[in-house]
Amino acid sequence: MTKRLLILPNNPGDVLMGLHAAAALKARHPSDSVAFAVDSECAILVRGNPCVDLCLEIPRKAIREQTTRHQAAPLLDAFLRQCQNYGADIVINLFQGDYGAILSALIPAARHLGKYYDAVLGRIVVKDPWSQYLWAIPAHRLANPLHVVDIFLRICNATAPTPPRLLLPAIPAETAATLQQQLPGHPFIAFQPGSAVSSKQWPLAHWIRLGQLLCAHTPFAIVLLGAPQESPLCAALAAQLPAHRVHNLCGKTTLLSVKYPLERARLLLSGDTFAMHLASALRIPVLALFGPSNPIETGPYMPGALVLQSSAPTLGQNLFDGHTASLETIAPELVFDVMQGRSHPAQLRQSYWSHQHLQWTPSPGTQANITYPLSIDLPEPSGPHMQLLQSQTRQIQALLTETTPQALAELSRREQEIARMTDQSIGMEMYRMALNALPSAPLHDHLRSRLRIVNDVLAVLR
Amino acid sequence: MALTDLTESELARLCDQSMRSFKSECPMDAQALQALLLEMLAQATTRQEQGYSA
Repeated sequence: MTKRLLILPNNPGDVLMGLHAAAALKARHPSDSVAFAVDSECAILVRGNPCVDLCLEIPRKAIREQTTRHQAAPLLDAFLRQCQNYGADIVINLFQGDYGAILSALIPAARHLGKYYDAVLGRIVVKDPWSQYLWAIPAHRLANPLHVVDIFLRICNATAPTPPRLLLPAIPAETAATLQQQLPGHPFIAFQPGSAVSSKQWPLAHWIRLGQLLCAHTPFAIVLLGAPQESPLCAALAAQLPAHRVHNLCGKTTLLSVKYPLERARLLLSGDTFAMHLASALRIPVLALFGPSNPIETGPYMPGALVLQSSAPTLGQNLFDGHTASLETIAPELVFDVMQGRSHPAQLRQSYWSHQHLQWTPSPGTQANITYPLSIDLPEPSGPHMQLLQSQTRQIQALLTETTPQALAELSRREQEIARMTDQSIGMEMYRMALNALPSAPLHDHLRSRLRIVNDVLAVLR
Repeated sequence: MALTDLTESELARLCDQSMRSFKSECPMDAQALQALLLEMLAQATTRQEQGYSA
């Protein structure tokens, strides 16, 4: 039996994507063991999950709440002992934060995949090709055709023709009963208006307009979902809709219990949020509104989900660098038409649940399938030596557009002639010595001098 | 060109660009690493702590 320990502490959407990897590992290796290290705040998704044999809760919040490091140290010590006692054969760190790399380094195992702190080198390293692929994405976000879940499955070596469905722990009966009382007795559409990242949030005015359209033209009720911090937003939205048509559950659900209303919704309308990832995992119909983030990478991981995107971000831009591919440009009327199945605009995409991408081979480590030239746009080089190189490149380009091509061709022809005539003997040696004696000079002058020398050498040899 | 078309060395180079966020000045033993992890955990925050949907 192989023991695998996955590290993915937060955020909740990422944890759900990591749980797909756990589910795939369980499906592929039913007799093996999977442990999952997760922050205590997200542990509700992992604890009791049928895909995970052991939930290792990182006491991060408790550590921070201690007054002194002296008080906090035993908490970490106990957690690390739990990890070490598990006896993992393979530690798979899927977390983007640096502390995941340190944690990975503190858990002994035969193999460490993902970000790993190499204590001897004194830096974080990534050695396995698929993790390297994952961490190459920030450099070229739009050049990535794979969903993060599919990359996770490859890091874990757990791909399958059809990824297994993600299972989640059950919610207590009393919680379900409480939520049931707050839901409408007839079909409803769930709204997740809030987002932790403002650029991923559809404007309130658009939510209001869409809600009004739904209330005016359809029989559906609207259920508002969200975290406590999003309560003002949901209250403002609810205030603009007919009271008997809107049910505000914002702040009343947990990361897990929110699945109760979601499982009963006809559709979830959301930005790129945890609710979207959860609805996808539950196979609830999703219409996701994407602005600057990339739906190929983090869109709904399910067949049939729809994504409306304002416009694609440009290469190199990402969610957090102030770019706003504004969600404002997605009109509520357009969203309403799509919900009614009446419109198929250019921005509408099928979910990138990537069955087709799973067929993609080979692994990036397979050198036999290299494609040259690499036309990918790399960042501008910098530093003095690069400036020099760029300057020389400009000079060469200038030469090539003037009369020099003929000179270069002539030079090359004559150098070959010297080589043929002398059979690498004294003539070639003379030429090399003369070249070495050439002073450092602008390229123009150097080529002229070199052509003069080659002619002189040829004259002697002839 | 897609990332899937890149060679392993190209991927490693791009990956390395993302890995420059943390570097220590000297090798670390387990005790020093654990102290470092403690410090990092004590400073980290999450979206849930800020009360948001992620």
